[in-house]
Amino acid sequence: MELYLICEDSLEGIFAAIYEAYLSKRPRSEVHLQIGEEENLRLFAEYRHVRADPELAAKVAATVRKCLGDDGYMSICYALAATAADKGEAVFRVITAAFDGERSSPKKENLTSSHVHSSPNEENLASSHVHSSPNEENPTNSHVHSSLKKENFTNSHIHSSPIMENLTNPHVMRVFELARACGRETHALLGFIRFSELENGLLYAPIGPKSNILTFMMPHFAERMPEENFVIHDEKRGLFGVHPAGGEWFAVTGDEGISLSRADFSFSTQEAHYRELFITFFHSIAIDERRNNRSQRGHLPLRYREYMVEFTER
Amino acid sequence: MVVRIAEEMSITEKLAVLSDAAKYDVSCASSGVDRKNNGSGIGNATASGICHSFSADGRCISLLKILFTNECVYDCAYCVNRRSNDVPRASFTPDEICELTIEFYRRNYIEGLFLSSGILMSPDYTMELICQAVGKLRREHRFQGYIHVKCIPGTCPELIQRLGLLVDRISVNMELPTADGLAALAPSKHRRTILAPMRQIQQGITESKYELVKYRHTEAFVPGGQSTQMIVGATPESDYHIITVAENLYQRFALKRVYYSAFVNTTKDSLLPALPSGPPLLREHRLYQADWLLRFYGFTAAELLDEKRPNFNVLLDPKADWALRHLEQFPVEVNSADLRTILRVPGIGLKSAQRIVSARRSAPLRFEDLKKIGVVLKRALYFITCNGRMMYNTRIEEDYITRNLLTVKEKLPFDRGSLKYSQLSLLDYDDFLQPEIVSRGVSDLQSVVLGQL
Repeated sequence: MELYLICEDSLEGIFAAIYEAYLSKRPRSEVHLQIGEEENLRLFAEYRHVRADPELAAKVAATVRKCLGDDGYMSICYALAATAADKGEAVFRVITAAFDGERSSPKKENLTSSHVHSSPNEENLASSHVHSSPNEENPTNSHVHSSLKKENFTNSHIHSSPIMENLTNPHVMRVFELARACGRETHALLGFIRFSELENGLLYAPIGPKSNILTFMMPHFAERMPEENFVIHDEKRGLFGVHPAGGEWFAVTGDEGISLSRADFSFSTQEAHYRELFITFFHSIAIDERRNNRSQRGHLPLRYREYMVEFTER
Repeated sequence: MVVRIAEEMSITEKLAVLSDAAKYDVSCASSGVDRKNNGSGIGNATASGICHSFSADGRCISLLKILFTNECVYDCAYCVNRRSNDVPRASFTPDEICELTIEFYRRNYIEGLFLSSGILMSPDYTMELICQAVGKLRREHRFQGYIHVKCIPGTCPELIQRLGLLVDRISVNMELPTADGLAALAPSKHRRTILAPMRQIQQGITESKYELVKYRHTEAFVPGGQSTQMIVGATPESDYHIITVAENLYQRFALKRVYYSAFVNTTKDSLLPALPSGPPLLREHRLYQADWLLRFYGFTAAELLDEKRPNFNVLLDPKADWALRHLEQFPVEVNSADLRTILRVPGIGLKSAQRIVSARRSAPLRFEDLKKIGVVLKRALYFITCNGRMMYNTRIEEDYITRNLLTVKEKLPFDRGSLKYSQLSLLDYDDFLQPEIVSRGVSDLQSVVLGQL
């Protein structure tokens, strides 16, 4: 029977579901990840809700990072920031393929039997579990294997799985596409986001990205402006990234009692002056003889412009 | 020496004048330097570079691109800021430059500062002022973002040395591809005074890299490398001439970038072509395409053009044009050919080629995989095989492929229909072609670039 694991749309939720999938010991091809409730239930399938669990998620994250390398891990994180409904399933398939080292047709393999040929990373997942792991039913056996796999593991640690290069695998291709789109949007917004200075000197920037990329943007600005108090506000998701001057940044969700909109703020006396200066610059830097709105639109799609002073004013 | 004194201008008026005067400078890159913030002040530099906006001409705005002053003692024929041109003049103070840079940077309008200048009194006098402004920005404001400064030809080596330790990139403009062109249009500038600082900066960069290996905390000298710019279409040089000069600059001066700027006639000087149909944008585009082929695709200038064919094809990009003349090297089997060979296939870019080489390690690639990887199959299909098969039953014949490639509309960064520039501009510069320039050999070209050092 097919097993559908229903999880919340967050890194913690999806990674916890992947942990659960491994615990379930079902054949891999029968386990599916489902983000949010299914509207069209299947008849012969079991549905199970998985709670988001930061601790389990951290274990899965650490294992994914070791197995896929930093770049592969970042691809997974970027892909999971997308809005696409199939992202959980695609990421799950890529991670299982990577854990199995893509041995012969991973789909036919049984999660239970994988205990015997346990892949290095599952081993790690289990051993990092503080409480006795369900994978250790047969301690002697698993001990032998774990020592065998240790070597394997160090190997895979050095040459992390090249799974993300295997673009002929449709799931890898899907994760690659999702990650590329989120990566592009993040990079674009790092440039297009506009801060405004409020009366108290705080810098405030509203954004409305397609993907949930606030947490990818915060480190960039925290590093860049260590002495500024600033807030980035994802208006679509009610999410705030807060950076206190000289401190570490953190994320706050709207659920935690904050609800703000752009209208709530009053700007500093200098704000209008610098906006005007920049708008002057923006217009005078263009060469009339080369006017090319199509190219401008290609590089700077209209959806970004509602947040940019040079397009919203004047 | 008379310095014209303008009436007191507001900072907004100054910015309007001095950014308007700076807009013909092409470079705006903020890439090539990865510098973390040291925990104080403001700013860092990202290796990939970041575009902060795009102006109405579709060009990226990354840096606050301004002139320090548009006063100038020179009278270069092509330059909007030439002495004899009647335009409003203005100069910034170092404090104004710092204020604009910091306040724009805080609001994430810009990635850093691009500072060029007209020549006030003398090159050294002007560069000294620029050094002061940049020094103030770095030391007093502890600004660690990207700074690009344009070096004025004829600046003394000591000033360049000082400046190089403050900024990320220095560029010395070639302005025109040949010394003859320079002599005709910019009589106060000399090839020697342009190449000498280039060589000095190149040596400074090499030494600095060596020192950084030995002592990690020495200040880096021009860590973003140097670039230059050539005006295209103001003088009669051919495309072959221009890319040969560019190739030499890359190989012998280790330049990061050569920029090409389609000539915009702002001064209407009698020495200059009229260009009734606007700047030669298509020609500029072809030169950039060729420039990429030189830097990333392993082509040489002599492979792309020669004395008999000194200009790029209007209808085909330089790579397709090359491939059609070398059909004996095709088709290429994507599952086994080396990276260098794959890079030469029209429709396959740098990233796609790298992805092909890494993806085929796991499994042989099919045409549909190539498409997803990013290969433009409409163009590539005539030149490749996948597992020994062509995609369709196509012939390796020049006329046949040319006809088919021409039906695939080329993606140009501007509208071919609305600008009648393309064909007309080609005629414009073809009219200029003087036989003695066309017939010069490669070795002569090199001596044009190098002979004076």
